[in-house]
Amino acid sequence: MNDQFDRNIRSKIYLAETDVPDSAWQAIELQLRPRKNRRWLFLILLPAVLAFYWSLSQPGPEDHIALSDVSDTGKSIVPEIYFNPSKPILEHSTIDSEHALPSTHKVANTINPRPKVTKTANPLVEVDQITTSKNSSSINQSHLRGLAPGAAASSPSIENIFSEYRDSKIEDPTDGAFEKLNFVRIPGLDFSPQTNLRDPKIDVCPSFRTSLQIRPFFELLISGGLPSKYYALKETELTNYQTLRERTEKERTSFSLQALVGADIGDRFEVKTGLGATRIFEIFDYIDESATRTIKNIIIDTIFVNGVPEIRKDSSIVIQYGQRIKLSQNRYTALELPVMATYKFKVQNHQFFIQGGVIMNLALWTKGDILTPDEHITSIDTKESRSLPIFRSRTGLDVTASLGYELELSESNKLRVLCSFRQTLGDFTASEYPLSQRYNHYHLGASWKHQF
Amino acid sequence: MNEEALIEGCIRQEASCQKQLFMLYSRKMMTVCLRYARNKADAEDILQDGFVRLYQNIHQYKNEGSFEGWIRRIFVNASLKKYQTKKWTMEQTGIEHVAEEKVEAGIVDAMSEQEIIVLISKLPEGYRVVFNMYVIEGFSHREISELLGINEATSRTQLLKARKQLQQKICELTMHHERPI
Repeated sequence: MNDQFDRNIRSKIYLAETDVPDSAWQAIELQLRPRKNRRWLFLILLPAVLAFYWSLSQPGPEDHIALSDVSDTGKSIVPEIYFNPSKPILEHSTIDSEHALPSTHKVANTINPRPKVTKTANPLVEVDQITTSKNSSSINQSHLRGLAPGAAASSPSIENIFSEYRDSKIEDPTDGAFEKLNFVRIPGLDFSPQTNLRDPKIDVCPSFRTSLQIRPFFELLISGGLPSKYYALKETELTNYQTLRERTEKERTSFSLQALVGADIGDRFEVKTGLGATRIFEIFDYIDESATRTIKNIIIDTIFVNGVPEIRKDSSIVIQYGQRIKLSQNRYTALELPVMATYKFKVQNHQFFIQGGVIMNLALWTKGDILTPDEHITSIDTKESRSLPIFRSRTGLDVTASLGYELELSESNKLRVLCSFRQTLGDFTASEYPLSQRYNHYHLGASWKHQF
Repeated sequence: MNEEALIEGCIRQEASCQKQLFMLYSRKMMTVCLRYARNKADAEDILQDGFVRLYQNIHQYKNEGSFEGWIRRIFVNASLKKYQTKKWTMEQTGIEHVAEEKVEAGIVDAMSEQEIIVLISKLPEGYRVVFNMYVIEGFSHREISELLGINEATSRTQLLKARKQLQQKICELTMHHERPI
């Protein structure tokens, strides 16, 4: 009899077919061909941008001239050359005018031309070395102790330059007997004497810094505002459920707290990271006018009938009709790792900043409570935090951008106010859950920054 | 596209062939998964896991025996792995005193496929696995004992109990059985 029973069952269901959810193939395909994870790009791009910015800010040897050859009035000058006017200068020296004063065009089309220098018997002018570099001619490591007016014969432009600036007096840190000679910058010909005599002003002018200063700091940020929730349906049958949730939602707020450490790089840039926490509150005011409540009781007993034990199962169903009012609250708490970059700029002596970055979600805790009509948590639910299976334990990356204002309290303490926008890139709900749920945050915040 | 071309395409990891194979066998394999799984969500998990294993190991198919039988074996293995089957044999269900019910041959024929699958899925896990493997898949008790890590006698006992319980459930369903205490 058993064989017959087995055959019947087998023939009935061996080739039976069952509907497969549409999402099954997508899930399999995702496992076979996982999406490329590009999160690492953020971690590479950020230091790359910083390095690029730093390299741009770092003046090279030619930039040194370029930085120094613009005066406050915007007039182009080249570094100073000191000479003693009491001595005759450049009486018999000649510099080939074609190379000494080349036009920009000529130099630009010359590959490493070597200027021709003719030394005369008069040793008052000592030109040690004249070189050209790349597309612009320059005289490096030249120690001009004097220049003769005779140079005007072959180089009238230089004579004009000399005569223009010869009478300008400067303070000389050596003996006070020297005069400062400034040159008008000649395109394609940069004089860059590596003299040990430097204008003291150079050392105090911040624009002459050759490296960026890095200063560490600590920042504590608190912000709050309104999150904007939006859903994406994976199954169209849940449209009503989505509508219900949107309609019954009563209140929603979110708060963030971040403790950050970072470094100021130069005067305008800063990078920072740390730990943060964000909490989102939601309250749902759910009223169902024609609710049905079904209670099913099942009782299973082993009883003895004529001394033989027998299992008996009884069930009863109670159906109740009426109005259901349910006030509930959801709380989402996230532990986060922000990585931010800030650019500071001034507008009419007011310090503003923009900042952006990524916030990596390390953990997400969710909790739901039933509330009494006066919005207190009922004693039905325990207050222990628990993870609902429909939510993820981590939501992935968020991106954020802020605009803020900085107020200097003291040299090392600053108060900042900022408005920020934050976009979650990952769902709060589990991948298999048919309704995906994400948040945007619009926050106002304040932070205290302390520089070490 | 015939079956051989489909297999060749899957070996080359062509997405179109993989999808076509899925469309061809997913409904049948879903039934297999439902019979072994505790619930529908688990069955879907097993289905996904089984197909991923299938695509990863399809090059091992030697064209010996039916391809569907080979696929079915993959899904049975995926089901067994899902629940770590050795634990099932330790189950205590308390149905030692269930009286044997006599099931008329016509009753099973009168039932739908889904009704029978639902009844099988309601069996305790240890019974369900042995019943599925022996009655539906056609494994011998020796094979079952090796796969589940139990001895043959246990497999036979589990099958006997599963069969009895299933027969009882069929009787209850067909007779709308509701006994007053």
